[in-house]
Amino acid sequence: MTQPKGKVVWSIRWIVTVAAVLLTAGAVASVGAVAERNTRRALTAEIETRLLLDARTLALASTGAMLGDYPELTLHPLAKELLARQPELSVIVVTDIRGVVQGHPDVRSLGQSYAPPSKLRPIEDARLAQGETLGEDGGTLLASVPVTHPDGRRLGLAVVGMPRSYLDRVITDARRQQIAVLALFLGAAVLVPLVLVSQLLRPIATLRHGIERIGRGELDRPLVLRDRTELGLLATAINQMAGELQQAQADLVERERLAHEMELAQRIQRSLLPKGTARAGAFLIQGYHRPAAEVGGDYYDVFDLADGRIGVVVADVAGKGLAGCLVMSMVFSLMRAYRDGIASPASLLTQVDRRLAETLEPGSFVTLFYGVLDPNMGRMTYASAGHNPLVQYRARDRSVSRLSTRGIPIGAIRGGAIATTLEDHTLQLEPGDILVQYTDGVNETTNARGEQFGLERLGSTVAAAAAGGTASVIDAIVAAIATWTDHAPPADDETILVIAHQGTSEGDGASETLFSGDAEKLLHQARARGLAMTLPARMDALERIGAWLRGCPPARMLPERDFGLLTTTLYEVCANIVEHGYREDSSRSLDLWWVPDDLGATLFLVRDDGTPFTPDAAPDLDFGDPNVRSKGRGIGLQIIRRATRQATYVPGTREGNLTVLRFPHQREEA
Amino acid sequence: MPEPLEVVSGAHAVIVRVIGRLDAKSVPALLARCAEVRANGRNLIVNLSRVEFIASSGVGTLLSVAEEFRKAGRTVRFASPSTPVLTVIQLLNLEPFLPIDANEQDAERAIPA
Repeated sequence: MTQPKGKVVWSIRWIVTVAAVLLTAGAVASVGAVAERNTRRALTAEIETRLLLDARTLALASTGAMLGDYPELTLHPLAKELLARQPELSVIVVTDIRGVVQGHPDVRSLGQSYAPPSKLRPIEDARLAQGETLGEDGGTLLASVPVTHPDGRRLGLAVVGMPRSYLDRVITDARRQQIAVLALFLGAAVLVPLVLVSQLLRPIATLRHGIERIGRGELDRPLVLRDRTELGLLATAINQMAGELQQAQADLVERERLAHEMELAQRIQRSLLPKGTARAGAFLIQGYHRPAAEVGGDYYDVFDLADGRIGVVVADVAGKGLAGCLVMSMVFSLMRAYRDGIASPASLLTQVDRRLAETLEPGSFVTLFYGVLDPNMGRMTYASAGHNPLVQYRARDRSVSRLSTRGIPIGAIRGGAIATTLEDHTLQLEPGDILVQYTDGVNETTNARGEQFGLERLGSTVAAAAAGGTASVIDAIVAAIATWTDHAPPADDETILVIAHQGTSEGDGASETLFSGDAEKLLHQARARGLAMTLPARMDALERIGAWLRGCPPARMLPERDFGLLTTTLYEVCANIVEHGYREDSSRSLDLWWVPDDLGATLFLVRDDGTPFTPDAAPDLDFGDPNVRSKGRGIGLQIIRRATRQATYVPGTREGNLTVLRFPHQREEA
Repeated sequence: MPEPLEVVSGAHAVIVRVIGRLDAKSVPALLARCAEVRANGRNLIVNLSRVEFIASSGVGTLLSVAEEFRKAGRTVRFASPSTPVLTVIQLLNLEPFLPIDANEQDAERAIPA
């Protein structure tokens, strides 16, 4: 048995043995002491009685002899016989009335005078009759009984004595026996606990080995212990624990394996999503995907078709996890396989349904939107298999509409029924128009009260951000959802695809992509190369913007009218933050940068630590309405929207809230 | 810092000249002065030539003043707006609602006697 280093182990066996020995020794010693006292008392009483009886017998036997002429002739043999019978007697004397020895075992003592010791320590005893004495003298017990005539006359005295050492010897003999018994018990007290405890504790070694084995991770060998004591129960409990540990370990391994597979699946899913922004003629196409914790079945795709057309797909597979991911991959492959062969989106989706129905589990289905964009004609033909309505923003009247179709989801009804519900729809798009397609994770995301974000809110968010282009729309939707859900992690995948008609096929080289990560990158760029100003969160402090702007390189080259507009727009953006984000707390501050933009725009960045707020998503003001003019409110937002090419508020980044503002270099004449 | 408002009485109207910034800070004074003119039943000319900066609150004030005078049956004209003011007015397409004249004389002439 191994023993941990530096730790003294107390042996239960020896603890029990020592305790048993001490207890036994104590018990036997105290019982022995009591027994010895009682024995001494009883023996003393018995010996005294015997002495008295011997003296009485001697006196009685002497009476006759004393009446004769030669009593010594009778009394000497009598005394001798008594001594022979009881050799422990040290004194046997019979005297006549004058104190002359008439009876004695030793002949030489006859005729000498004898008197009992005068300093005899008398022993008071109820057993004594008239004239009898019992006493101790110098280590000898003496009993004297008068020899009397039948008429009561006193004839002499019979004395019998015995040394006290005889009594002690008898007691010592008795004590020796006690010590032998004590030794016997002590021996038993050592042996019995040693053997018994050793026997009882033997399973502990087995238990210990078993537990050490469990510690080493060998969980498959059960502990074998046939024991009827509590240790047997302990062994059963340990085996049970090992079994449960083994199960838990297996569960953990399985969970880790699943987590790993999930991660792989998510990686595959991410790898299938297009990167960055696609530009096709006057159109800009940008996607956004935010996966939920569990791998989901959302995906979007943008691919080239013949004649410069572009295919766009947004799909949502019912069912999450690996199964959803696999179905998603199948849809992805099928769409890409059929894209060149089938021109009509409805026909293509029918074909996908036919192929997918063979493999889809009953009850599982896919909603899918497929659009074919012809950038040259400014037209998009699309079909939707049970997918969310397409959100269309029209720049001409700043209206938002939702376009639904009759199409049922792929795999919902087997046997090609989908063909009768799918049809192609065509949209003619104009400059400034925006199309937004998305998955349930966007419009069905709920706030703390369980209310859905909804299509109405989605539509107004799109309208409010439409002027800023694809990145602005995506950022606005993402920010609005973050505010709606109070920044909770998504319960479902969130997928957004935005198609924007830019108006000019050449563009001016400006990048439209902007995610919160991009905003942070812009901030680093601003810090490295930009021109900064820090303003306290106070309205009158914003008056300094104009003077600062005069020192910014692009502003110096601007015509006066554009410079004024730039000043006003920056003022409005900062005023919004001071008012809504900081509630005019002048102890706080915001940073404003002019950032050199390689892509040709005049770029400004505002950073603040205020409370993130929802940018006003109100539609454009109709100044033809007298009430609107009378109130005179909401004009700041109108200025920002119209003066900038992009105005994006990205709240809650690691660096605080960021507002990105892009101005065209040269404003078109109004 | 120049006085933000100069008020002179013209032949047919009271002329209010806004100087410097037209933002949340200077708006209350302008609004009060315009309300006074309207209460006195007079017409108004707001001279915007010396406005160096205009914020949305300034634009909102011009719009609401114009609307209040219209409702009161009085006339308000905006004379020689500075470049920053004009740029914003044009950006928001507000010309139909803010009658603009090249100078105070033109504005006076535009007011019906």
